[in-house]
Amino acid sequence: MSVEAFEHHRAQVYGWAFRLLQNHHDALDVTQDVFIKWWRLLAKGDSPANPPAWLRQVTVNQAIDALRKSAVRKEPIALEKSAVAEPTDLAHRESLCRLADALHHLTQRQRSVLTAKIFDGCTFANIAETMELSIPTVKSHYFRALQTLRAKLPDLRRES
Amino acid sequence: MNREQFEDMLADYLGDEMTPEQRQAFEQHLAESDADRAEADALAALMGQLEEIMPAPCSLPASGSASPAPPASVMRFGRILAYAAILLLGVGIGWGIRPMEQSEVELPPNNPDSLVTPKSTPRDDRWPGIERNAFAKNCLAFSTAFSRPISTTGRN
Repeated sequence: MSVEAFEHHRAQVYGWAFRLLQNHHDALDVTQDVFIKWWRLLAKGDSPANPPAWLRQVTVNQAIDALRKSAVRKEPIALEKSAVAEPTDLAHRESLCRLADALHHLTQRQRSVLTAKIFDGCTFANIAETMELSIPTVKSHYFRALQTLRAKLPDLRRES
Repeated sequence: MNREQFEDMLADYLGDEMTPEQRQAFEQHLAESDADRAEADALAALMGQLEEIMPAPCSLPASGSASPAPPASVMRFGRILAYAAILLLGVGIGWGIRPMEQSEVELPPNNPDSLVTPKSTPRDDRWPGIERNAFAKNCLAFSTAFSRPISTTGRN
């Protein structure tokens, strides 16, 4: 892999992780963990058919796990804006943890479709080609994912 | 419009994959169906909330920029690797200066005298004052000193 390709993937992975974690340090930790997984895979002689899709899936899973673990441990809030936790940050972190918990309830395909759409703005046709599914099936996964999130998160909101 | 068609079109609507004409036609349908309108509004609100709580990062850090220290587990792993490398180096050098065994001394063929008084000299004798494995001990001491955490805040 060229340096340019690595930097591109690294920026993508960091961006995906940050979207879910909203914290620079946590996003960097997840980025590092994702690339360790990737290098281990490559060292075994395996190679994902679609590296960006694989990286996004693993990144989202790692970030969800990190958020859920932090929620279980009830760690102090570490959002970016200030060193001291503010009520709005607490509410935001709570929303992120609830979102992570809801995303955990989606099937892997629903999660992949949803994050490809929301994080990268992929078209349904593009996602269908990447995941080797029909476009109606991709739309169905997207719709079911949104329905599940809506049921799990009836009052998801960032206090401001 | 049956349920399957509605879900397909709602996915396009929420995913912003409709032409202006398709969007206008779908919104016309929503205006005529309260139930479908309510469902579309609820999912659109959810999409807005997701965008709100998950804004994209403003900038991406370059790999060469100042970044926080790696996690403790990675630091620990790196330090163990450094210990192992230095230890192997020390053992290797210590092995290199060990006294030669009798079997390792080259004997000239067909010379009976050489069996009694080998011409080769054990290496320890050639380096008087240096004990066997002393070099390895020095390497270990060096590695211990080198592996101390480096303070970045100044000396006390």
